[in-house]
Amino acid sequence: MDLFSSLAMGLQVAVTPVNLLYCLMGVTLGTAIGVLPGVGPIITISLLLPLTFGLTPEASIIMLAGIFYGAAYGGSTTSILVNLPGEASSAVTCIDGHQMARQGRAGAALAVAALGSFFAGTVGTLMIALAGPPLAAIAMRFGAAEYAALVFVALLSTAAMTRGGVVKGIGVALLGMVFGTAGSDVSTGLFRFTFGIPELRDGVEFAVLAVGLFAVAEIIGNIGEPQGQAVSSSKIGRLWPTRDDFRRSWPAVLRGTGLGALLGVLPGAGLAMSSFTAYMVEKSASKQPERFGKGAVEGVAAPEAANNAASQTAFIPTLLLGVPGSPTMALMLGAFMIHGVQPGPRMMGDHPQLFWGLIVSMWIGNLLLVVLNLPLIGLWVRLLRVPYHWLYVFVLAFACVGVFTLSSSAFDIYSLVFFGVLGYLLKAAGCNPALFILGFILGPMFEENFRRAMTLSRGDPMVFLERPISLTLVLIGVAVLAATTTSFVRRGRAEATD
Amino acid sequence: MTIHADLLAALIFLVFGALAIAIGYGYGFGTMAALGSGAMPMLVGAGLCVMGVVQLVQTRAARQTGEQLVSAFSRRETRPLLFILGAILAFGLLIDRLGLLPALAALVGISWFADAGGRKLELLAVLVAVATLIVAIFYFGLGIPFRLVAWRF
Repeated sequence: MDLFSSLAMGLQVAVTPVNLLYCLMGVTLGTAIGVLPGVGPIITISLLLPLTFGLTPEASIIMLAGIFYGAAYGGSTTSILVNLPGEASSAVTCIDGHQMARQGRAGAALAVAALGSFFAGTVGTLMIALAGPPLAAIAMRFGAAEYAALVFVALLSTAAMTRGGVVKGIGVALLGMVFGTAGSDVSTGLFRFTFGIPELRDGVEFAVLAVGLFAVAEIIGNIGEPQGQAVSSSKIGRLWPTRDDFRRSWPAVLRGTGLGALLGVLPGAGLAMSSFTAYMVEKSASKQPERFGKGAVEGVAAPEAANNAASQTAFIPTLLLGVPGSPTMALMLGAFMIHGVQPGPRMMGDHPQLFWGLIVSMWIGNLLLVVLNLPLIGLWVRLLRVPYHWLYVFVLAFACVGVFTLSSSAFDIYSLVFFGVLGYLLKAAGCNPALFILGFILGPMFEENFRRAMTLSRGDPMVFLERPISLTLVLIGVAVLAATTTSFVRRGRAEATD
Repeated sequence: MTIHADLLAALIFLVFGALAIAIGYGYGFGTMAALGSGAMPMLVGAGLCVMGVVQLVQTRAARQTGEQLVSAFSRRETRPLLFILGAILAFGLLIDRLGLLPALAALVGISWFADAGGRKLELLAVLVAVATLIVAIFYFGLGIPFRLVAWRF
């Protein structure tokens, strides 16, 4: 099937009224949480996971994806208007975006951010569509050893890239893997780590774990922190950028898109890293680097394009290999599995409606975001006036009721307390709980393929180094680990909290 | 001795690593060609222990260079921790016995005091707002058959 007929089929799925509605809901919610500091895509997606049980796979994935890329979009609004990044991925937009706002050119900055993001989103979506079939064909040839090596690389490089250091990163990912082994063993049927509790026989409920680690632990941490009061004083001004703005920003958007699209695919790089790198590249490529920090339009265009391109291409490893490159993508993978869909090379053949429908809907979502963002900007800024002590009570109530609906059992609520405590301890220890999720999702995948590879090789661990693809992957993992000691990656890591 | 972030991380890794090995041992390692149910927990547990020890060594090195170490537990977070967890626990205890609305009331009522800043009069407004939104979304919107108020002890 060629690209056009595939996209046409995707269009049919994406434009059904129900799916359009969920796409709109997703991007609206995404924008809202992108604007609100303290509530991010990880929390929101984990909160909504329990609710998607009742939806069709298409509708729920379309909505959750909308939240993910919508947040990358919405984060720029508050960065520009009130110098307060709603998301880490937009932190760098504050530098020049807010300067533009102070010069009375907030409208132009917002428009450049929105149009640049739209362009980047379009390119990113197209890249998934183009990369899909050939990449899936390669991945089809992956055996157990290759898959085990791939998971190993994804885990290692993500752990190496996060804030807090390699040791803590790897440790937390391993901790997640331990929890991932709970429940009945796929190969032998033995119940592991169930402690005689029948509710644990199917393993730890993913949605409960995510809500506890993120929403609950995050709320506790946020209340403890002193709140900064955000006041928007600047006028938005003329929305349409000047001819000079266009001339300056289009090459920046192109570079940002390319860089973001590339970094989005890499495991561990994440959105914050891509926007930060794009900004640095733009500054060093500029003939007048002194304009940066004083309201240079390129300083808005490049990072916004980069983080939006990355938020699209991050779907490539998740959808095509079944191996998520970031914690948020691990959540998305969990959402697929809730619906019995296993992302990976076979997904395009087994669930073409879902795959192509999602791709087309992401493009539609990007279009909706431009419409949502530009004319409605005043509405979003007003969201900032919601005090946090109202917000957290609602989030907590939503979390508890959502988790309870999973199986109408109070046991899930008690597990929520357990994972809330664990998440709190991990944060106190300076560990990124997001990596826990990645280990939890990838752990069982690793175990299954590792055990199969060992059986096939009759117990010879050299199998991982003898097969060329597997060897390459293992070498990449080692290289990434070695590279984390260099200063450039360290600096990028310090900025990227994604 | 203050428990600072790095030491806490080391402790978490060591405790869970040791548990994983000890419990995993009971599931059986199997052979290299046929790894048993306990192999992965034991291998991962061993990895955790290694990370814990490395972290301990790093901490020791930092201590010797005279680095200022801050406690991992901020006093500001004790209050939210207790109230938020208490609120969830109360919700779990009440939801089956008294129904959704009383459980929500307890959740909101307890969690409200996690933040010292909120005024008491606002609490009533938040209570009504949260209950309305939750019932609208879950009960009417998603049609989940909750018992709004029940009496089962």
